[in-house]
Parts: sequence; C-alpha cells; structure tokens
Amino acid sequence: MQQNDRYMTFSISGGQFAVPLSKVHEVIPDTDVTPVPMSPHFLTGIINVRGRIISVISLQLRFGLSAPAAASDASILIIQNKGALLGIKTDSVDSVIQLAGEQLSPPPSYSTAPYNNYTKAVAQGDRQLIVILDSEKLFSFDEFYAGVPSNGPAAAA
Amino acid sequence: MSGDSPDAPLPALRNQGARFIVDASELKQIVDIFIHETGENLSQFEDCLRALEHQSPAAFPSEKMLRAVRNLRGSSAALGFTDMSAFALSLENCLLAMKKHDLRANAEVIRMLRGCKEFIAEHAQSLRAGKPLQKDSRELQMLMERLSDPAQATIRIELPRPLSAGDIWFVGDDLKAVLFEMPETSVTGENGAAQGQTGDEEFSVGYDSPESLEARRLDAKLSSIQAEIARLTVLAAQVNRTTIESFLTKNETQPNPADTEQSGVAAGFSERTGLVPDQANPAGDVANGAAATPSADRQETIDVLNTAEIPAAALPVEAEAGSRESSEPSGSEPVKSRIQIHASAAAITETQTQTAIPSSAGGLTEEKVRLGTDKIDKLSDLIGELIILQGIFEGHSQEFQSPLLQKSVAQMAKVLREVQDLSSQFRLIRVRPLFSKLQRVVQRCALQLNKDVVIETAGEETDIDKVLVDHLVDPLISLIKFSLDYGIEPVGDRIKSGKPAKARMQFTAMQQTKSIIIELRDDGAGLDPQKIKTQAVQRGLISPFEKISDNTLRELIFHAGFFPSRPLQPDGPESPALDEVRDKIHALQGRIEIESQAGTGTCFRLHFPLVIRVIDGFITKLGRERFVIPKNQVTETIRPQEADLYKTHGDNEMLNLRGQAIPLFYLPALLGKKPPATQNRTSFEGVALVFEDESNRKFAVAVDDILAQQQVVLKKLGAELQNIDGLDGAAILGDGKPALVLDVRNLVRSISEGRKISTQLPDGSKAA
Repeated sequence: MQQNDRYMTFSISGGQFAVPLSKVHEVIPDTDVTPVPMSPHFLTGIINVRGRIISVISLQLRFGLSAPAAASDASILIIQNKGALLGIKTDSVDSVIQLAGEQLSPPPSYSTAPYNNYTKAVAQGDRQLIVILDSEKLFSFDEFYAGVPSNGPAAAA
Repeated sequence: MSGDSPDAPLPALRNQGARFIVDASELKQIVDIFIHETGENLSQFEDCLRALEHQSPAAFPSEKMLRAVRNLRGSSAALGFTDMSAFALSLENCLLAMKKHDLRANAEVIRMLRGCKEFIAEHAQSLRAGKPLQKDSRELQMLMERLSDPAQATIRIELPRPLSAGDIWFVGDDLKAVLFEMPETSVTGENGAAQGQTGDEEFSVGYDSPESLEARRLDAKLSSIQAEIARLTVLAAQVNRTTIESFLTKNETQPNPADTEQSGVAAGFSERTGLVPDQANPAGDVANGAAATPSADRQETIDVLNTAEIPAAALPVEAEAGSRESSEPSGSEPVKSRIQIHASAAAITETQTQTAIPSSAGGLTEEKVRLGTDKIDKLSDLIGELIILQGIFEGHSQEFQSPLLQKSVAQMAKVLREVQDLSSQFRLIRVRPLFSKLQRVVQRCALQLNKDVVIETAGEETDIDKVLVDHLVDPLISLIKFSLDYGIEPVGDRIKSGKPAKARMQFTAMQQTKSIIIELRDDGAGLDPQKIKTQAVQRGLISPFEKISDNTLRELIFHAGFFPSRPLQPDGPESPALDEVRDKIHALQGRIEIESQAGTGTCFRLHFPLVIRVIDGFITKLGRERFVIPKNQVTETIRPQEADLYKTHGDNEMLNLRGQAIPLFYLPALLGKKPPATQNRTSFEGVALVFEDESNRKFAVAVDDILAQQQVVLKKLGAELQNIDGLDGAAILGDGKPALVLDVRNLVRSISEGRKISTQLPDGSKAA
C-alpha cells in the first residue's frame, strides 16, 4: 500500500469508493454505450475510446445499490489492469486523496455489504467511509460466468 | 558542423596513431549523429557517382560532390576524427586538382572514388562498432595522388582497357584472361570505353606457357567453375552492379612468401606501368580502388577473386577446388601458376555488409526496425479510425456540388486502402515457428503414446497474421493430439493393415487469393462415420433413424465432450477440447473442414482470411441497435413477402426460399432478447439474410434492415466478453460508436443446442 498511497475517489449511489490512482487510466464524460446482448446485466455496454473498445460496467447494478439521483457530472472512470481496460460508470469522480498505510483498515469480515467481496480496504473519509475497491477483481466477471452454462445466451435473458 | 578546426579531439577519443579507439558508451550519441551525417554525405556522393557513371561528359567534379566531401571533412574534423578528416582532405584535394587540370572521370577515377566512398563507409561503421579500423587508406591516397597528376593521367589513358564493373577476371595457366562480361554493368561508358575495345591479348600475363598436364587439369577445373562464377556474378550484379567492382579491386591478400616481392602488383592487378611502388603495398593491406587493370608483369601468383568476395555458401565447390589447387605443388613448373579462391564465413558477412551499404540510398544505416505489436495494433487502430472518418467524409461530400472535393475524397479512399493494406502486412509473420513448435509437440506426445511418427511440413514460408500464430497454437495442439490419440493406430495395427510402421503427419500452410489454409494431415485410421453415428446414437445426440451425411457425422467430433480429451501430459497445460477448438477457429473468422476416409487418414483443413482484422460486413439495424454481420457467412439477402413465411408447430417460422423451406430466426431471439410478438405481426418488413452452415444447410435470420455494406475493422472485446458465444468483436461505425460483430452461425448453433442436444443446424424447429 505504501507505494500506492494516492487514490481516486468517486461516488456511486451515494457511497464513496476509491481505486489506487495508479490503476486509473483516464476519466471521460459519460457517453452513450452500445449494449451487449448476452452479457452480464451490470455491463451497460461498450464504448469507443480512441479506437479501443472498452466495456463499461455499472457498480450500482453489480453491487445491487439503490438507484442514484440523476447526476449531472456523471463520468466514466477507466481503470486498467495488466493492459486491460474497464470503464466504471460513476455518478461523479471526486478527488485524489492521499492515504497512509495506517489509515487503512481491512474490510470488515462480518459485513454483509454487497461489495464486500470487492473491497480491499476501508478508510475514514471526511464524512463517510471510503471503500477502496480491489480493481483487479472488478475485471473478473467470474461471479457472472460461474454457474452459468458457458453456451448460455439464456443467461442474459 | 562546418568547423574546420582539424585537431580538436574530444577527451574520450584517443587518437592512436592512424587509428581510433572510440569509447562507444560515452560517445555513442555523438558518433551516431556523425554517422548519420556521414551517411547523408555519402549518399550525396553516391548520387554524383551514379551521375558520372550514367551520363558521361558530366561536369567533373561536380559542386555537389565537392560539397559532400567538404562536409564530411568538416564534420569529422569537428569531432576529432582526424583520420577521416585527413582522408577527406586528400580526396578533396584530389578532386580539386582534377578540376584544375580538367581531368575527366574515366572508369578508373570512378573506381577510385568508389573505393574512397567505401573506405569512408567502412570507417564510419568501425567507428560505430567502436572497433579500430581495419583498412588502410594509404593505397587509396596514393592512387588519388597519381590520378590527380595530369602527367600521370596521360599514361593511364594508354592502358589496354579498364575493367568493367561486372567483369570478373580469371587468370588461368593458359595465360588467358577470361572475362565474364555482364550485360548492362559496364561502367566504361565514359572515356574509358574508347580504349575498351582493344584486344584481349593485352590482358595476357606474360607467362611462359606451361604444357604440363597439371596445368591442363587445372584449366579444365577452372572452366568448369566459370559458369558458376558467371552465375554468381549475375546474382551479385543484381544485388548491386557497382559492388562487383569493389570485389575486384579490394584485396586482402594472403601473405605468400612466394610473391612478396610481387605483392604490389599481384594483389591489385596493378597496371603494367608499375606506378605503384611495391613497398607501398604490403600484403594484406591493399586498399580499395587499387588500379584494376591486369598486369603485364610476370607474376607468379595471382589471387583471383580474393577473400571476402565470394559468398562461401554459394560457392562451396569452387572454394574447395580452389584451395585444393593451391595446395598442390606446382613448383616444378617453369612458371608457378596458382589460383587461390578463398571463401570463408567471414567473407560472407563482409560481402553482405558491402552490398548493404551501396544499395541503401540513405548510405550507412540500413537497419531493420523492431516494432512492438502494440504499436502496430495502434497504427491499425488509427488507420481504422481514418477509414471511418473517410467514410463520413465521403458521405458528406455528396452534399456538395464540388467535383474536386469528390475526386479528392475518392483519391483519399484509394490511398487509405493502400495504407491499410500495407499496415496489415506488418502483422504477417512466417508460419515456420508455429510449425516447429507443433513438431515438438508431436514428438513429445507421440513418445507418450508410444507411437512412431514422422512429420513433414510444407509451406513454412507462408506469411500469416500474427494473431493466427498467437491464437492457433492451442487449437492446433488439440487437433494434433486428437490425430495422435484417435487417428494414428498402434504400430501393430498399422503393420496389420499394410501401412508403414512409422506414421506420417503433414503440416501444410498455403495462401490462396484471399485466405490462408492450414492443413494437418495424418495417415491414421481416419474417422469412420458409422462408428461416430453409433456413438452419437448411444449418447442420444442423434436419432438412429435420422439420415445424416457422413460429413455431418464427422463434424460431430466437434460436439462438446464427444471425444474426451485425454490428458496426454499429466502436468502439462490442458489443451482445449475439440468443441472449443472449433469455437476458437470461428472466433478467428475461420472455419474448419474435415476430410477423412476410414482407414487412410484424416485431414483437418483450416481456412482463415488473409488479414484477420478487416471484415466485409452488413451493418444491420435492429430496433435502435446496429449489428455487424460478416458477409462471408451470408449467401444472399432477401426481402421476403408475407406469403413466403409460414409457421410450423410452435412458434418457429420457415421461409420459402425459391421453393425450399428454410428455418427463419429472428435476431433478437438469437441474442437472448424477447422475441418480437410474431403472432400479432401483420406484415413482415424486415430483411432476411440467408446463411449456410458447415453442412451446407441454409437458414435465414431476420433483421429490421440492412443499413450498409462495408468493410469494418474488427476489434477485440475485452477479455470479460470473450466468453460470450456469437460475439466476434466490435467495429466502430461511421458515427464513432461501436457495434457488435456477430457470428450468426454460432448464435444459431447455441440456440439449437440449447433446445436439443445436437450439433445440427438449425433443427430447433423440429425439437421444439
């Protein structure tokens, strides 16, 4: 953690989330997506970013959070992992914060928060808890593909 | 770099006598710049030389040439390369003297200039390599002095005949110079040509004609290799006409005690006038561009085609013959005549560098550039973007009544296509490494299975898209394992059925007009359709009463789990099962055919488009969405009338295609969306695309409309979406938005498989 002590925070459905700044590829304004049939429900679609096709996911749908108020400064936060890119639809991208190792605590093991599986650590923010997401896990759609027949267009229905 | 301060050596440069030791690490940058400049100057110089060679009474020396030499002198002096700058100075003085005395550039002068050019080029190369220069410029400088002296220049004109660039001289024991004259390679077109026609007897070396058998035998051998050398000369001339000249004139004579006193003339074919003092010409150090006319002096040994001149690989016999000849004692002859032909490995490399230098117009630096594939991909992406923008342009240019605009746009499209074609070639790589990898797999697996297999490959030079190489390894390994495991019989069985004990596998790659074909062929037991049928019936995949073609039955092996992939390497990585193999091949826009006869073997034939990334597609409309359907799967498109559609039991629809009933699928249903309410539909307004599956059975897929038919750049989806069947990727359309590229056959297969366990297409209607 010590090396990656800067984080980018963003809001989704009123919650504060963060990913290490080193994992942030870029932030673009929200844009129309092309829906992908047969894909996980939380994948809102694909976008073209300078010739590259990037999938955009909704953490609100993925984590089953309540619908956000219509946000005017909605952005897509593009994160990177081993050369792969993934867009996260956010209500707003907030700021870059510095967090020292001791400010971070492990995710509460008893938590029933739907994103607990994706939580790497939590930190106390100004007003609320900041959930630091395990960005690598976001790239894996295993929870969607697991238990679904691999040839299953029906899965998306 | 015009500084003419000749002696300002940089601290890290040590001028060691005549040679330089360059600290490459510190000076690399400076040297690089210098070499780059030298390359430019040399290419200017070369231009002038070419001009001299081809248009005879050109002004000589031209201003351009002088300028190139002057620049060279300036930049080398400024960097403290005093050796180089001194040489450039001599050359400059020589040229100025020639200008002053109005001497013309005959062939010899041109040769001298070429020699100079090569010397400089070599010098620069040794600087770059950080190695001391191997060459000595004294010989050249001497020649310069002589050639720029008007008094001596007149003697030169009396020479019997200057050599042509393409000539190779052969001096045999019959004392006759054999001349191989190559068409169009002569550089004697200028002043020298006038004398060039004089008699060949002038070349005769003044030997006493030996009558010995030994000499005759030698002569016979000589003539037997003449043709080869002539052939080589043609080859060399093709590489670069002018290079041959340096072959002739550059000498790295083997020190030979027998001819020390003659070395000056022996090595260089120095002219009969003997103007070159012997002592100035130590053996082993004869510079380029030495006079190349045959000597009339008696000489006992002549090194013909000296080291570094003949690629050893191309002339193994001659080299051997030559050295054998030279080792044979001939001391009893009245006149010793020996011919030495040296061709060593070092010679090859030198020859290659030699040819590389003059052939690159830019001078020194003809290097291959290594490019990361990510950069190439990026370039392809950008070109794809350009093509999209061009499409927009083209669309809007119609709105203007400007012929010029439209012409330019059309031109732009043409150029872009060329750029695209070119960039797609960047990705092509040889199939050879893939094949050798597969060979190793075969050997390993055959060992495990206790089978004896020889592998033959063909078409290894075929270029295929790197994407294919990267993605085909695993599928091909699976196919190979299948062949080894199920195809090739145990040795005992093979012998029983009259086959050679050693099984044979053949890998073939070939390119057809627009596609790449990769074949894996074995001479094993082949696929017996009846056995497959029995097994398929047992598993309930097909009904025993179904009439199914043999081809279709064979394709059943691609059904999931039909042939359990046995782990051949317990600890090795799992290779994909055959159904995955087929999917992977489809994902690469390819298809696979099985050709097999029970008892004689199996051939898997994989077809791929030549370039993977660009596909011809229909842009189809479905509600507010657009999908790209690759054209290669579509056999025709029709707008069916209501009367052509009818329902079978269930909700399945059939389409009457010229009297043939084919199943009709609605794309939304295939995509797992709610199918349109067909019951309430009063009329059909869409378009039906007709497909043919692997078993040549037709089916139709209905979309709302076809918006366009165009080439699109196929882009990969993220890894998170690559597991989804039926999605090939995405393409960015004219408005910059991506659209999904569908693999409709796969979609239909998934649907049918979902309804009924069968690989057959598209029998969903029956099963439902």
